[in-house]
Amino acid sequence: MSEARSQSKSTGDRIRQLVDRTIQRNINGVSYFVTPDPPVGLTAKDIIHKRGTLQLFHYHPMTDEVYRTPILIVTPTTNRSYALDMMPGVSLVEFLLKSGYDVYLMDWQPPRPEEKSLSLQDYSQTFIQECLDIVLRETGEDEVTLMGYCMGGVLASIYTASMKNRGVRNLVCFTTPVDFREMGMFTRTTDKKHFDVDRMVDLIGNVPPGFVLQGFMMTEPGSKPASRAQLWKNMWDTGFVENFRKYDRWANDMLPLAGEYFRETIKQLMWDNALYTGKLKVGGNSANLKNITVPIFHAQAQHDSLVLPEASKPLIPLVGSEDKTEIVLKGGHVSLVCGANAVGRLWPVLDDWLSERSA
Amino acid sequence: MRKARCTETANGSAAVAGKKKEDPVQKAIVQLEERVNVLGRAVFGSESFGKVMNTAVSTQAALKKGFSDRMAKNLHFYNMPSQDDIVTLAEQCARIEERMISVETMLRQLLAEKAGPARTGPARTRRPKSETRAKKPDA
Repeated sequence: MSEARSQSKSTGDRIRQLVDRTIQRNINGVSYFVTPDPPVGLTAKDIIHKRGTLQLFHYHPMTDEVYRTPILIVTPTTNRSYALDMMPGVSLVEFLLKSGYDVYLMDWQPPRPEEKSLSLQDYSQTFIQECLDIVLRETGEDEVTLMGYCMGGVLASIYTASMKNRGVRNLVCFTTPVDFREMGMFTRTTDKKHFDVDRMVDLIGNVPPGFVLQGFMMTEPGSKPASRAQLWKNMWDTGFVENFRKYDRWANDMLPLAGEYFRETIKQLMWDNALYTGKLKVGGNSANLKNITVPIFHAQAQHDSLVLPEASKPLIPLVGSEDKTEIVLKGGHVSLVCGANAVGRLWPVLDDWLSERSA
Repeated sequence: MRKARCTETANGSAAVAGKKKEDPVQKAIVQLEERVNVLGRAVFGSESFGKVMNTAVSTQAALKKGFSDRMAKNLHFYNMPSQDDIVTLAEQCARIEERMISVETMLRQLLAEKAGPARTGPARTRRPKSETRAKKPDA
């Protein structure tokens, strides 16, 4: 008797849940189409330097006492920087501030047509050098921790190697490709045999974001429809929809790439694999990774489909540092730095590592 | 408080969802995604696709270029600046901006030399966690 009642109760509950979810799904569905994307990158900051495509942010410290060495973050040139400051609780920047670090971040804006001639040297030396000098002047310190995510890690590594560690106390890289022969789909689609990068850049100047996005989507073509199906399935869950919109906004919010920078990246990094072979020269200086002698921390994602682990693995063996740490975490390219994987796995380890090297 | 889970998608997007048991719909979505990925990689990774795609990109770029050249001629006829003219002007502005930045940098350096480093904000005296942990038992 009581079993029958509990069964009918559970059926009743299920019906109620179904009705509730249907109503909520409709409300969220309408709101998805009529409301603007939720705000991102809300951690308080000042723009302390601006030059064309480059902006330098200084985030407001959140503790009474900070570590001596400031952190300068180099974000990837293909994406908006708010991936590292998505929302409270899921923001690497906020985590670092709350842990007592003084955080600066290099943010990229879409390069203007006249900036098509910006080169790999501009991105990996001039801009980083300029920001580093400002940070050192602002803080009165001699060195920073240079931190780079994805292509930002490549730029930070090239800077540290080619400038012989000038002004860098620690180097932190997240999922940073080094062996560009192992970039999977990117290596194949930009194959020298059929990809005429000169013709493309000469004709269009800056590479449009759609082209870059297409390249990213081709690495896992099933993801877009699957993520839409996930959204539909969880449309009743307001929290899911809001978070989905933030991540989806970021994933589709790509930046154009400066033409010359794209040309050099394809020719020197993809075709010649010069960073891996140690033959890369930037601004007349050798960017051999052996030149990096500062403490280095590198985090890789086990299931990274954009920067395959085979492409990022050689970074640690190739650098000349004695103090080097490598961690391989579960998860993908994005969840490594933001999301539950980052909060629970990467950030605490990173804080422990940085804390010992920042005072 | 609900625990969060990050479901990552291939193009780099990710979504946070509530932690729950896998249901058949979820399983079907994951399987479909995997199949499409395998199929897509086989197609997109082939040399013939690479050739076709690059031909398409080149053609598109050439068409775009041809169209903007034609547009530039029309604008010239109407005595209006073309995009190239605007870009040239913008390049000149960028050069002026660069000069201003270097002047600004020199001025800052001069001021800094006079006034010494401006250190505002919290004290930069935080100690490593290991030291703080070691001190705690004594306290």
